[in-house]
Amino acid sequence: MKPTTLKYQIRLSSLEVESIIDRIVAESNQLNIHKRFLKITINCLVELIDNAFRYSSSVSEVLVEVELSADQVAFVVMNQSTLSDVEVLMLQVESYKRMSDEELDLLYRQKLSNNTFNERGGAGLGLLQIMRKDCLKEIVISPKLGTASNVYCRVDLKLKKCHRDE
Amino acid sequence: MSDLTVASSSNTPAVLFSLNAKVQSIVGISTPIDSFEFYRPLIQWITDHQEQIPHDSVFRFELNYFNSSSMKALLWLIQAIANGIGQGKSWSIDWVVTEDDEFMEEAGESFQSLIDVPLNIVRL
Repeated sequence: MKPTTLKYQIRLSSLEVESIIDRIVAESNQLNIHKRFLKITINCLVELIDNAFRYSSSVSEVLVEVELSADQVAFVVMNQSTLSDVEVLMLQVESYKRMSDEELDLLYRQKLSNNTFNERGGAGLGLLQIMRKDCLKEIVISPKLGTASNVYCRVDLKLKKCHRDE
Repeated sequence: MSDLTVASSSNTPAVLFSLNAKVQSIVGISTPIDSFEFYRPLIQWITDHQEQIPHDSVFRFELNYFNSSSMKALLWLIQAIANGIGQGKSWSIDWVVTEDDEFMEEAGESFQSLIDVPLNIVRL
């Protein structure tokens, strides 16, 4: 079946996020997406948008693109940010890519059980959670120049169904 | 002393903590940006009402999905319940998981490994 592409340019609000998730759930029924794979997809989307919330100015919009098919999901999430914030996220992801599964699990447990939230109210767990998914195919974070020297943080994420989702 | 009731919203779960019920429940989704602000009154309620919360109360978590900052705040809430159990309260914790929800299953297992009292993973 042909993939479905959903494109949104949203103001940051929980109602908008809820409507995107509702739409993905509805489309997944049409595309026969396995329940486990759907749950992982929603979990990753929640974390990507959560990240965009934390690293955006309150007035900015977030671009969300989702290409859904039965065995693969591709996200593009883009939000206005600062170059230094984008670089921090890029470095984080690059360091996680160099870690073994065991090291990722250990770091995840350490961050979960420490008694702090970061200065943006985050737990520092979102990207780690995505990196631990067995169906993660690719994640790339990059800066994009916008108009009037605005900087955007672009996250490309691809998930591929694994044998457990057959 | 009062109950704690919070209606669900587009990014927060429904909460029903009652001194007259044996099931204390949190149901729905949890994706607030400031998770700790949402969960702090719940933690406070448990701390403040340890003596009034009925014996054999079950704290039932039935969440569809949540963001990672909620996961951390949920751990603090579960630790507050576990502290009560550790001090002799006959409460229990049910973590409800639906079929094929590996994320919720893993979250429950993570919580299990980080507290000193049993957390029951209830599979629907």
